[in-house]
Amino acid sequence: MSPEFPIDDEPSTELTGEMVVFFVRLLRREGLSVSPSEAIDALRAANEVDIRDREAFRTALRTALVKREADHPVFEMLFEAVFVPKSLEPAGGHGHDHDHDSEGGYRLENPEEHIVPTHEGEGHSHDPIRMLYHDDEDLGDAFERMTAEATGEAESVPVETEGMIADFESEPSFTEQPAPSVNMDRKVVEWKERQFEAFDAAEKAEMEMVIAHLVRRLKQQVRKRQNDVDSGQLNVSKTLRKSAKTGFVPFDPVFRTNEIEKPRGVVLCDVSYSVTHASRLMLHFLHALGNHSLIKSRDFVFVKELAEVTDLARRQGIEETIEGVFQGEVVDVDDDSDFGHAFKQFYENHMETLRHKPTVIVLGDARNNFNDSEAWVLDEIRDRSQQLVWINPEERSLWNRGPSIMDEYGQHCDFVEQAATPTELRDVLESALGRHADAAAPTEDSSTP
Amino acid sequence: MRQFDTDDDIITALAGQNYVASREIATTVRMATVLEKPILLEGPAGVGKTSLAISLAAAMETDLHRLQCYEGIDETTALYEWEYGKQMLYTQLLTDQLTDRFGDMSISDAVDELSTEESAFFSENFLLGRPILRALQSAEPAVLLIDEIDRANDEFEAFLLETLDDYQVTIPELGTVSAEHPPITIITSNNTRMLSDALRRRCLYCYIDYPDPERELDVVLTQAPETSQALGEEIVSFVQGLRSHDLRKTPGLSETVDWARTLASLGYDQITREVAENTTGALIKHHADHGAVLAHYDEWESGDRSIHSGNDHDHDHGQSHDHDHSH
Repeated sequence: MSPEFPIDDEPSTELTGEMVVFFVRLLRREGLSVSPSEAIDALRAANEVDIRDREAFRTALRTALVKREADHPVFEMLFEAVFVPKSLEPAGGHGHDHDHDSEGGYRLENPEEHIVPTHEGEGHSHDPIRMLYHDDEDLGDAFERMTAEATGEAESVPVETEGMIADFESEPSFTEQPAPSVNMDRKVVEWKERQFEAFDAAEKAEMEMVIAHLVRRLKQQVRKRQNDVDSGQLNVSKTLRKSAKTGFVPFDPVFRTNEIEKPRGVVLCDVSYSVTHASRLMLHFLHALGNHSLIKSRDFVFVKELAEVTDLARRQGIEETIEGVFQGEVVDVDDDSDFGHAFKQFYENHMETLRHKPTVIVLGDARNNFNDSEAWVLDEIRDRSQQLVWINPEERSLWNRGPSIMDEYGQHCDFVEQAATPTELRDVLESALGRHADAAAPTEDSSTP
Repeated sequence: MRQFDTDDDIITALAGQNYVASREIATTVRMATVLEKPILLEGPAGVGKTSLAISLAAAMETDLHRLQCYEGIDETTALYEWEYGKQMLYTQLLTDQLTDRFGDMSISDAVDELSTEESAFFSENFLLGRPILRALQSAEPAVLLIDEIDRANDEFEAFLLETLDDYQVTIPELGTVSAEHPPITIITSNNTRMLSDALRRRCLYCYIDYPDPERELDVVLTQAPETSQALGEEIVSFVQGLRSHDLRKTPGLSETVDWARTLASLGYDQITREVAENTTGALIKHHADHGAVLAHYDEWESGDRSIHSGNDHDHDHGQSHDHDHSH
């Protein structure tokens, strides 16, 4: 179906450029963000390799365009589909894993006209690198085109290349498409007030945005606290000792500082169906906080069995981990909630996580289904932790109804909070982190009285 | 200082330093030298990210400037520091001369006069270069290794952007120092924290995963030459299988090499249960993983020991492709 587009002779620079630009567009359509400067890098890289050497071409494009390991599969899928080894049947789909490219070259799995840019008649007369670099007249256009694409249509359509190319053809010119304006502030407010239950997969990206917003706020608080603490008094003895090498001229005064230790947290997250949305958000939140070095947390999930997901989240990313957790890959989510069992498991296997007096947060609705409460474990945890906070996403009026034994557990905790929206959750975490810092004894250094 | 023209040159040169480079790594390194872009290397611990930089510097016969990142690292460690002590010492030595010169002047005249000489005290004489500055000032392209950047906080990451963009640093008292020969910059990350997109955008990205059996065997035989081929194959087969288990710390390539050295120096020529019990300290780094190793041994011992088992892909790496015709 797709006409043969062989690259037998030394490919011209323009052709290489067209192929790269085309490929960048495909990547963007699949949701990868490729900046103009990265596209330029890819063009330059492609010109440095012999593009008939498929592996070298692949590496050149990949190193310049794909900056996360998680995005590699998308790249590989597109590359395999677009740059098919010449020795294979067109649109093979199967047997792609046999790289018989020692014969050199490959077909482009698409008709030639598809890679001609929408500027008719002009595309081929210009070296695309020059288009992006020097040629004043085209430079603006090219960038506009590429940036419009980058910010523009973000709809990702994971379909076969055939359809994709067809789509691509019929797509209106990017330059005419104004970038969709998103009213960020309104969105943030909207999302903040929304109940967890309202989230679904399609809205995940926006949730990320809200989280980033909240993380920033939290971060400023932490930094402010650090600054407050830093502005200590002059530490005379240390300043003198240090100025010895400068003839006792105090070039470098030393102040008394109270080191703020990074808060450590241990989080036990109920992932049973009733609190799915809250725990999902909680895990996201903690991961984001950890990523910004605001907290070191060990994350556990449970329904009945208890499992740690800290390493998993680090290895395969928080998204996949959370999906995996709720699909029951980590613990059996179809079990009936049994807080007592999970607590006991924590006591037996994971008490060593409390070594540095962390803040312990339990997130759950305390619906223990009439199992043993094992509340004594909470006492043990409380003894060895800075504070024990229970976050219950349910309305207070529903607490202690039915199988919920919030009060019984609550007696063994330092704080019991209700948090149902991201804003409430943020406030709870913010105050918990604040208390943690205060409690972590602002010790004056002992050298001076 | 050596230049490389083709990927194969790089592979050969690195092999000379006992580093077994894949084609992908070679192409990336060449791209980096040609485009003058930093390389961002990610991947699990112990797969040879840091040693790539070290071997590359040795292969290129150039200097390696290494910056080990840690929490709280700042510019004075990475860039430069003024040597107050030295400045002080010079001032004191010059005291007599200063008395002669300024003795009969009014204070304000003396200050004016002195300020014309100010630059003498903030010159490169008193500048203590740290790795990044040293790499930029190097007389020939050096290798700059910024190791484990994920340990530094994101302020430091942002601070690096100027350097990575234009290979220059700004020193307020002196002005901007630009590199005449941009260093080949290699940044490694163990992914304990997500790096910013701004940093990623400025780098060429390469992910080094656990090696496939062929490459791992290659590495074992190069780095631990005292190992026999047969033992090497057993070790690789064992470790490859072990990685599929759920371990606290999955052994990397460097652990495999350590283990091979251990076995070879203890005179074992095959893996037995005794070996698995006693020598795995080289391989696993958590007591909790010990049980998993023994369990894996039983499984492995009864199964196929060949390194190609369970490995159905066609590993035709096409080492022979030379496309030099038509040039």
